[in-house]
Amino acid sequence: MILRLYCAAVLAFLSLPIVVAVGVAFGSDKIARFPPTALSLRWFGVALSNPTFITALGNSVVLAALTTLLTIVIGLPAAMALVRHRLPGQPVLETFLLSPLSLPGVLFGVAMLFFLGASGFGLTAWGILAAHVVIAVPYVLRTTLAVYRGLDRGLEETAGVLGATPWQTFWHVTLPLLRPGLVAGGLFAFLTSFDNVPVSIFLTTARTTTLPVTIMSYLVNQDFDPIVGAISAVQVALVLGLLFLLDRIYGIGQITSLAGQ
Amino acid sequence: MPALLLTPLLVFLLTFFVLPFGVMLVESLYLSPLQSPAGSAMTFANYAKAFGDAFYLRVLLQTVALGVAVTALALVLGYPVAYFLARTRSRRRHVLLFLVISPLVVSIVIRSYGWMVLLGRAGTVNTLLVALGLAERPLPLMYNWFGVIVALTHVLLPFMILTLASVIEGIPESLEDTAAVLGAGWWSRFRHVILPLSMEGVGAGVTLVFMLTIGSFVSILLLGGSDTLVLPLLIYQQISLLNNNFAAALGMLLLVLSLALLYAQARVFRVRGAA
Repeated sequence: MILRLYCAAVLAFLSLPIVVAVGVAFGSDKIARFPPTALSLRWFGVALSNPTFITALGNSVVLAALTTLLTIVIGLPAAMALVRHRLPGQPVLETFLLSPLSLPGVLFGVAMLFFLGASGFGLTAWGILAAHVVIAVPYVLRTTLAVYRGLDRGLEETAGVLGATPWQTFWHVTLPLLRPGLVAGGLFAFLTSFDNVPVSIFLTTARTTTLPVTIMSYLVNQDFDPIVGAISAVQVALVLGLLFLLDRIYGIGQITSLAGQ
Repeated sequence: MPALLLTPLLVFLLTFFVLPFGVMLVESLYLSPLQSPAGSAMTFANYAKAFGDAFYLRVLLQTVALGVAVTALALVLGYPVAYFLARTRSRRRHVLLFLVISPLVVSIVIRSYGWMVLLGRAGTVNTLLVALGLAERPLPLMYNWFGVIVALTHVLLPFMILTLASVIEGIPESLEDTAAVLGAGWWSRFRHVILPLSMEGVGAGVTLVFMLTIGSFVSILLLGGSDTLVLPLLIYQQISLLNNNFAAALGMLLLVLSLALLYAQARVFRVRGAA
């Protein structure tokens, strides 16, 4: 009984700042306060008519979508090679391929800043995309590896025996079976790019700025305006909705065991 | 065939992940044009500065101390929840898991913003404390270590809970039942059965959370103050001041520290795999 109450308290602690960040969006106060003194939706309008945030949002969506696409394009073949072939030094190789996940983002952000400067690439949107692919690709790799390792190899062999070409086998057998891994990995790749601050903050310029970096500098300079609450409310609704949907389709246990640290 | 499938990712990571750290290493071995306008020879001066100056040494110590504090808090707060999560069989388990995981998918900036609203001078917590008469005037709850530790513990607690729960789940419940039949109370069952058997999970969770804490940036930038300087913030600060070469040396220090912890973590998991 005590254990249950304790768990409830810890869970309340875990949800508290999210509830608050979303809650302030529905207040009419000029300064973010929770609970709001009066209800209003006006901060959603203010947020939507702020060109800085809208531009940053557009950048973030495009960047995250391209990142997800690229991580799958280079991550999926690598995962297939790692599962279906015995490679020399496989454990070390796998550790290396997953390692961007484990290093502090600030560290890689600074290193990338030096690299883009020294190599002459400069601070362009392409540099940010490359950096985001590096930090997102381990998710796709890991989830795909986990699902692929659990697959019955016989299914692919049967397709081959029945006369399917390797490409047909891949398209009609392997790919559909890998879908849970790709969806979970793709989702985490998207979120990794969409939420990233520590890497992006070193690489973005006024033109290429992302939504979280914009919110961040807004918070550093202006303290707490309910505009950020309105953006939070939209973002949290989208992300939790997506998580709920995935939970319905694949089960949350599977999603976390696939993507968890 | 496998080489062809693996090459794109391998080449990509070698170019955009390994090479940047190589550049950082080189940068760390030269003086910046600001320090030596005529160009400089290779030198360890940046490292000597990081270790020789009491101010920077203090930042290093503060980074480690913050890591210890947040890790200890996450372990103590998270262990009972992990145990409950691992043992409960009810439908509630699903809801519980959803609530533990959902903070992980919400942006850290948003979570930090929530804490700013809660912990500010005129924030929810201070308003409540003053209204209840528990404090005469608003307490300084953020822009200091308190705010940083609260926010970081919040961010990292789910990692600790999930890591511990996955190990506790593997401990047969029958062992606890046997201990109970033999007259062991809950504390004795925890102390002599569950805790020793979950030590590998504790080791894995502790290294993971410590590693994530010493690399944290966003929560500390938003909820910390001028005295909550840690290594990632110092690196950011030095970059803003255009002390790129010194920042590179600090980056190499953080890199070595992180790699050492990664190695320790790999060892813990190897032990677990062998057991």
